Amino acid sequence: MLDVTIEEVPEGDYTLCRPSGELDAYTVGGFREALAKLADVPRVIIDLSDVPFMDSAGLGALIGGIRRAREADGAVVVLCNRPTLTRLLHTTGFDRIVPVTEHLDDAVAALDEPVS
Amino acid sequence: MIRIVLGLAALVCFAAAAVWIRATLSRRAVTHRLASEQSDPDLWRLAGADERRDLLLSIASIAGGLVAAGLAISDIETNLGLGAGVVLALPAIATLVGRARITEGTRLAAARSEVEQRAREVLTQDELAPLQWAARLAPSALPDLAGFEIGQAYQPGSGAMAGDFYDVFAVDDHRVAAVIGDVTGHGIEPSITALQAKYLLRAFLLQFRDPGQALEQLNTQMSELERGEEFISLCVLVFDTDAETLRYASAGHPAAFVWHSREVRPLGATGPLLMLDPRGNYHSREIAWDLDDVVVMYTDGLAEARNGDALFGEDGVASMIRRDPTASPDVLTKSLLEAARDFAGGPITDDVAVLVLRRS
Repeated sequence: MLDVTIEEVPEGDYTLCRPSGELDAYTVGGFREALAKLADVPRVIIDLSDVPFMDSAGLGALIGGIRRAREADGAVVVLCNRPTLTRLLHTTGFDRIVPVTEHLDDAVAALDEPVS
Repeated sequence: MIRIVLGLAALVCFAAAAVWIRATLSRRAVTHRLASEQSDPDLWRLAGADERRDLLLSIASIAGGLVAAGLAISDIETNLGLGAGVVLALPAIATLVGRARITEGTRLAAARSEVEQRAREVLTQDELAPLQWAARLAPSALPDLAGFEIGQAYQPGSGAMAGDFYDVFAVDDHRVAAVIGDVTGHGIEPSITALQAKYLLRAFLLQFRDPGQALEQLNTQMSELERGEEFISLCVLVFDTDAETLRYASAGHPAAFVWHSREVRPLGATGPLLMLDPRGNYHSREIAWDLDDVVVMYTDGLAEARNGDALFGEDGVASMIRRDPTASPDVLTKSLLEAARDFAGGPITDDVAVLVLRRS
């Protein structure tokens, strides 16, 4: 099972998207829908701290969502503090197209950095 | 008078027999067609039963007609003859009255059996499609290449079409390329992307000596497809049997492993997933490739075999190689799949491809 909470954080002027549960071929639909809703939100932090497992389908949905946000000139940062997931994001080169940070402070700061 | 009545009854019976004989012939045509098309046995048996029923009715009608005709020329009592005439003629009259319906019934049966047969063919095609795609993407037979022992396996997960693929071919007389890859997602679309990537990469590997450069070209071409959530992880190895080296490049693929100098070494990613960044950079690395060295390549379905929160993982793959690095590639492939299955405590649900090569 996968729950996705979306929370607006006024003090940092960003929206926090927090999926919790496993992100795989079976649960990816809900995550994809949540990201579609955020396509027009200018500043989004996707927090993967509560995702114990993500497969290539989850990764695909994540990249698809980020691409749509980018097309709408939105800034997206991924927050991830799980070593296995961080390694996956690094192996796949994902962390080269979107900032991946371990702490929320760094994620908020990264929202203001220009996209390379 | 009674002779005329019985004569008429005989005529009606023969007319009814003609109707049933026509129906029987039409049903027989259907049965024969079903038999020759090797269709579903139930369908064929059903048509056969219909045919036999109509044949019996034909025989009964003829018999009725013969009996009526026989009685007409005999010295039968008037009342008895009249009774016999009515009994024989009634079913025959019913047949003639319902003639249109009987003809329509046989016509519909023939049409329906044809429709059912076509539907069955379409279903069979759909059932075979994943296997036919898999036979191209991950063939169960690979070329016989001097100096190489090869083991390979491909298991589709949950019946869906998959984007896993591998390839082994001779680039020239002393170089051999081995490729394994995985397109995200399930269904026909990833399978098509996989087939495109597989053969495009072949062309680039023949054109460019450096696997990293081949991947860069492949990435540029495949990125132009702009396929949203579709990405390819791919690992390519080029063995040079003259130089005794192995050159590899990996586009975000799970680490392949090499058994060399009594050690297991990972061959990690040397660039991002294909189709992730059109300007992605891919470099190559070169290592030694000695006699009896082994390389193990696989797709994420193997390392992601799960038991609760625990993954079989790259470590699981590496430790299986360490356990018996002298095993033949065939055996090593099978024991890897078995180990992942045992770890998960059941069948692996994702697609898995494994490719193992040994220098011999």
